[in-house]
Amino acid sequence: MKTILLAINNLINMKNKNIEENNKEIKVIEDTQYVIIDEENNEEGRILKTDFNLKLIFEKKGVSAEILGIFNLEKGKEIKLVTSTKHIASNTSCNTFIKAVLNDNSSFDYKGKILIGKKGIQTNAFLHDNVLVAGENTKRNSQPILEIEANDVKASHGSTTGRIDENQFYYLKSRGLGEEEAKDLIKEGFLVSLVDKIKDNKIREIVLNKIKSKREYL
Amino acid sequence: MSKRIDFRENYKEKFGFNMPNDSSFKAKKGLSEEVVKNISKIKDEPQWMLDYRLNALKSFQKKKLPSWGPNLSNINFDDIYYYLKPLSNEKKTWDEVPESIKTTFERLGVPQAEREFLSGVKAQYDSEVAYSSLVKDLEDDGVIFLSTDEGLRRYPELFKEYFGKLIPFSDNKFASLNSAVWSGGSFVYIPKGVMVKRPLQAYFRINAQRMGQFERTLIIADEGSFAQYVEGCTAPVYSTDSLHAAVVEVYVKKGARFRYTTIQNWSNDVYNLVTKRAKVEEDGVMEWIDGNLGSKITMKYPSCYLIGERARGEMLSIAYASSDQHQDAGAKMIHLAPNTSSRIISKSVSINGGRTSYRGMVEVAPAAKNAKCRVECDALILDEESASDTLPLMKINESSANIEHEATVSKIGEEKLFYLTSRGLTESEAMGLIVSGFIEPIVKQLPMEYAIELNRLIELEMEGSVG
Repeated sequence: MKTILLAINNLINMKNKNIEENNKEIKVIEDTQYVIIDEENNEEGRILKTDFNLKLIFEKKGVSAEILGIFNLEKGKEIKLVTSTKHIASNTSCNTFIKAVLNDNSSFDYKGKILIGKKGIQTNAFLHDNVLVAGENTKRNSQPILEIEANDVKASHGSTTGRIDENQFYYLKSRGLGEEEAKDLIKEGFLVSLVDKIKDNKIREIVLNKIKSKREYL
Repeated sequence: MSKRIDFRENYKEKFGFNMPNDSSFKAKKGLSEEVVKNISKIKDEPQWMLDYRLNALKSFQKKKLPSWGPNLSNINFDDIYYYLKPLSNEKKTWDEVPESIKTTFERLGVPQAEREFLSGVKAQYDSEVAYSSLVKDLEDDGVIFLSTDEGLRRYPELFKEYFGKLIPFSDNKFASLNSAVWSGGSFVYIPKGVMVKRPLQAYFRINAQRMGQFERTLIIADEGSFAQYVEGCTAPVYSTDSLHAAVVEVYVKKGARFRYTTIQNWSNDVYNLVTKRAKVEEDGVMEWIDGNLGSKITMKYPSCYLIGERARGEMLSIAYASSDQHQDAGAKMIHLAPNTSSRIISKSVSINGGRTSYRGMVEVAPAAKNAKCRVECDALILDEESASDTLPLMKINESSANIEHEATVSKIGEEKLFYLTSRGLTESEAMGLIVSGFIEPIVKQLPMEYAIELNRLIELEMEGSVG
C-alpha cells in the first residue's frame, strides 16, 4: 500500500480552511492511508472547536484506503468530524478507525458514513468508532451510517463509548503509579494501537509525539 | 363480565339517529370534523374525549409528513374510511363468534385447541373488538383486559389519568390522526403484584377495502406486576392503498415487567405507521418484540423512556422486506436515570428488491450515571436488487455511560450454501435454513404458536427465491 498522508497536512493548515475545500470529495485512485489528528499545540493559542469533513469516493476498481482518526481531546475541546466513503466501483475496500479520548468538558461528535452503490460489488467496508471517557461532563454523539444497495458486500460498523476500566486503573496504581500517571498510561495505550497502523515512519513519530503525555511525574 | 348490562350498546342500534339500519356502519370516506364528531357520537363518548379528538384533528391538519425516511406522499387521506363498525358486537364465547370470522382464524392457523392456552382472546375484526373472553382467574386477580372503547366506558377515571399522557396528540402527524379517529385496540391494567402467566392475546385484522385502522392501546402494569401482551396482524390482500396508524402507550411501574410482542403481516399495500412508547419506572423492565413482515411501508420505532433507577428497556426486532416493500424500523432508548440499561437487537432480511432500514436512537441524559446500552443490527441482503440501511444515532451526555453499537451487512456465505447443498438440500431449502438460523435468536423469544407461524411464513416467502 502506497501511503499518502494528506489529512495531517490538511488539518495543520486548517487555520485558513475554507468550507468548500473542506467538503471536497477526494477521489481515491491508489491505495492510500489517511491519518486525521487534531492540531492541539498550536503556537497561536488553542483552537477550541474543530470541524472536519473527509469525503472519499471510490470510482476505480480494486483500490483500497484506510482512515485513521486519533484524538486526545483536552479540557473544553470540541471536535466535530464527518467521514464518508462512497463505493461505486467493484472490489474496493475501506477501513475506518476512529479513536478519541475525552477529558473534562470535552465533546466529540462523529458521523461516519459508508455508502455502497449498485456497482460497488465485492466491497469491504468497516468502520470502528471507539471513545474512552477519562473526564467528567463529556458529550459524545456517534452516528455510524450504512447505506447499501449491492448484495455481494461485507460492511459493518461498531461504536463504543466507555470509561477507563477500574481494574486496569487499580492494577497500575498497585504497581506504584500515581493517579495521573496511570490514567495517562491507559489513554496512551488506547490510542497507540492506531498509531501502530501508520505506515509512514515520519508521520508515526509526529502522531506518537502528540499523544504522549507532556506531564512530568514525580 | 357476563353480568354486564349496557343499555348504551344496544341503544344506538335500536333508537340511535346516527346508525343506519344496516348493522355494519361505515363513516364517510375522508376526514372532517363531522366524521370525528360522528365517531365520538356513535361510541357515546364523554365530552372530554370529543374535545381531545377535535384538537387532535386540528393538529393533524397542521402537521406535515415527516421529511425523512420512506416516501409517504402517495397516501391519499381523503380516500380512506376512518371508522367501520363490524357486523356483530362483542361476543363472549367462542360459539357465538360468526362463522366468517372463525374461517379467517382458521386460515391464520389458530387451532381450536389453542384457545385453552390463551388467557383471553381479543380479535379485532375490522375496527372493533369482535370477540373477547377472559378466563375467570384473570378477572379474580383484578386484571382488566378490554377493548379501549369499553375501557373508557367502564373505567373512565383510570382511563383519563393515563390516556394520551405518554404520546400527546401533537407528537407526530400519525399520532394526531390516531388521536382524532381512534377506535378499537386494547385497554390493559395489571394490578399491583399480579403475575399473569399466560400471554394476553389480541388479533388484529383489516378486512374491508380501503379501510384505515387506527387502534389505540393503553397498558398500565402496576407496581411489581408481570404480564405479556401479544398481537398479531394479518390482512387479506387487496389492491388499493390502506393505512394503519396505531398508537400504543405502556406504563411500567416500579418493579413491574411487561413484554409487548407484535407480529405484523399486513398485505403489501398497507402503510404501517405506528407510534409506540413505554415509560419505565424504578426497577421496571419493558420488552418490545417486533416482527415486521408485511406492509408496503412500515415506520415503527418503539421507544422506552427509562425514568427510574435501574429501569431496563429491551427491543428485539425482525424485518423482512420483499419486492416493493420498505421496512423502516428501529428503536429508541432514552436513559434518564442512573444505572439504567437497555439492549436493542435488530435483524433484517431483504429480498426481491426490498429495502430494510434500521433507524434508532440511544440517548443518555447527564444524570443517567452508569447507563449501559448495547445495540446489535444485522442485515442480510439476498439478491442484487435489494438494499439495506443502518442509521443509528447515539447521544451520550454522561461521562460514566457505557454504550456499544455494532452493525453488519452481508449476503449468504457461499461456503454455507455449498456445504448445505453438498448435504443434499436444494439451494432454496439451504437458503431458507440459513435465513431461519439468522432470525432464530428472536424467534426463540416468541410464544410457540407465533414462532411456528413465523417460520412457516418465512419458508413460504423464501420458496423459489433463488436467483
